[in-house]
Amino acid sequence: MDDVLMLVLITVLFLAGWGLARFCERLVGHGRS
Amino acid sequence: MQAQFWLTLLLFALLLVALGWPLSAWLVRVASPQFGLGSRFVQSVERPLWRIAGIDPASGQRWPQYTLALLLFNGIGVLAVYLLQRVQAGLPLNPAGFSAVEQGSAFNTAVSFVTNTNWQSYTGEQTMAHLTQMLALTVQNFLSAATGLAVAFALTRSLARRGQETPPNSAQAGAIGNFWVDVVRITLWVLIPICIVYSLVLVQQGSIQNLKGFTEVTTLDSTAYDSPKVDAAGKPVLDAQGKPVMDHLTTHTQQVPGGPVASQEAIKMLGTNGGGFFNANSAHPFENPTALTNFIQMLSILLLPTAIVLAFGRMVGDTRQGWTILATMAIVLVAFMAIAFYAELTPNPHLTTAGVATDLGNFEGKETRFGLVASTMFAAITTATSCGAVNAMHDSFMPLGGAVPMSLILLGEVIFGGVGTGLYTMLVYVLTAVFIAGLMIGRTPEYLGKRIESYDMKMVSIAILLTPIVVLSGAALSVALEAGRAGISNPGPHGLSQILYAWGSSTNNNGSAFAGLNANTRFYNIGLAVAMWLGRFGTIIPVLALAGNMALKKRSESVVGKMPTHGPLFVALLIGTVFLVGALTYVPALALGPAAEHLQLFSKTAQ
Repeated sequence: MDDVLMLVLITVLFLAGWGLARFCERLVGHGRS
Repeated sequence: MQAQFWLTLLLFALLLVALGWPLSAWLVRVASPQFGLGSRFVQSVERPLWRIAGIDPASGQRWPQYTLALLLFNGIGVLAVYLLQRVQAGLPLNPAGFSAVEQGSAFNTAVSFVTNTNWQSYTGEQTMAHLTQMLALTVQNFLSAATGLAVAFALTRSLARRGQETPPNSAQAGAIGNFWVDVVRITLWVLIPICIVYSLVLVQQGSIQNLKGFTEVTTLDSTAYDSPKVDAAGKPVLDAQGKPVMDHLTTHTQQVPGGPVASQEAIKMLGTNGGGFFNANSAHPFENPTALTNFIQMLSILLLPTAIVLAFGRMVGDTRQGWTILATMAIVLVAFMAIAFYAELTPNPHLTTAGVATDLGNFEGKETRFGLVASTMFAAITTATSCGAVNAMHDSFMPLGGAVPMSLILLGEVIFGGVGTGLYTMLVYVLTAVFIAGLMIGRTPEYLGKRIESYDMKMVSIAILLTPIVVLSGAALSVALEAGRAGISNPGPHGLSQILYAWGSSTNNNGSAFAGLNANTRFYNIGLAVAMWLGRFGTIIPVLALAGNMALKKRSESVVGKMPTHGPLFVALLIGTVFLVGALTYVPALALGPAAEHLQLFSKTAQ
């Protein structure tokens, strides 16, 4: 059970990273001056 | 002793520049897309790798592709290190027969080594099989260092690009390099060659390199010790008051651990990783056997962070830019080193009052083979960089001496920093300094001929702010929750220092421990692992986004009316920016921790 929890946590960390990248990518449209 | 300190520092600086300058030229070649085109040897090694992996080394990636490749590579790395620890009991090269690592600790260690933090909540020689040490931990020492250097290459390339190399609509427009090519080349042509030579030097000096388990040896003298008495079920026997019953034992033998130490030690230092084979880290004679290895270890920690800064100057076509950043880092490091040295030279007044000889300063927690000079220099160097190795216990430093490693970590690992990370994080501060100066003089801020615009400053803000948010929130949670307070071994300001250090060290990917905090609990194992990941990729991702945006901009060659970003004035501006933005965030927390402890210690003496 604990192993499953840890594997879920690893996936969440990866997705958090990818989410931040997408967030930075979306900001481009609002940031050009 | 003071003369010894300053002479050692002078020799150290000279050797560092003498080695860093030629290495910077080599880094420039490795970072170039044309690397190896004229070499049959390089081609013969690389071509099969590109074919197996299906990579076109000439093809560049824009920042989103580069980031996805980096995240996937590191995510798979965490998974591999976690699984290896969990199944090590059934795998070969486990002479001591260690069982699987507990899930929380395995998760923490996996994230820790992939993010170049190397925070260790376990005791290496009593937990990890040799296969885990070699295949999981040492491999990640190489790959996490290569990842940091790759990001530094990407940002430098984007700043060096003139913006006219490729048509705006071509597939290569805005390309910042190829992550796979960068990681392979850095590992193959920079890290491995240096580490082979370095490991052999360590072995010659006395580091061990074998695959043995524990060897029982007979000691010259007997050792008496107390051990808790256990019943048939292995549980401690308690007396009427509920206290454990102790057995008084005497032994004539000792278990001496073996293992592939030298090979791990070399990349631990060169890659600014810091995770020791042994719990005592670089205070252990098998990891750091002599005063010479101690000096070489300090030199090797700063070697790549120095070389990449000088390589930056070469790549952007203006070596003064590299020297300016290097001078900024060196001034701050020497200042902090001197503070730590003089703080440790002052003995603990309680010990002096008790009649203990304290002529040599504060020796508690220091390895007598290295003494005060090598211990304080080592502490400053390993915390200014993201290395995190220790040869003395930072917890035993005087309050102000302990505040030095803590402050260097909390500055955000910009004073030399980790391999690659030091440069790209400092460049974030450089852009902030240029932006602030631009606001002050009323001109559009420009760095290396590229305009700094709103989007760039948004990325800079994310990169700078995310780390302190995680550190301070984590420390606040630990103080507020029972699970966090349970790990503290000293109450009062020192306990807060232990907690602040743990969160600062993890989030800034340093990995050194203040010692004293019991962090091998579910709360700290998971909390600190999340902090390490956010600290690492919360900086890398906006930096890569910044690189992607910079790569698209045209570089203006005109210098008329522009603020120079080299020379003493800019060094002063950059130091001011680092302290204003980086350090002021933590002043309240530092006041309640080391500052309060210092005042308490010396005010009691005065009474």
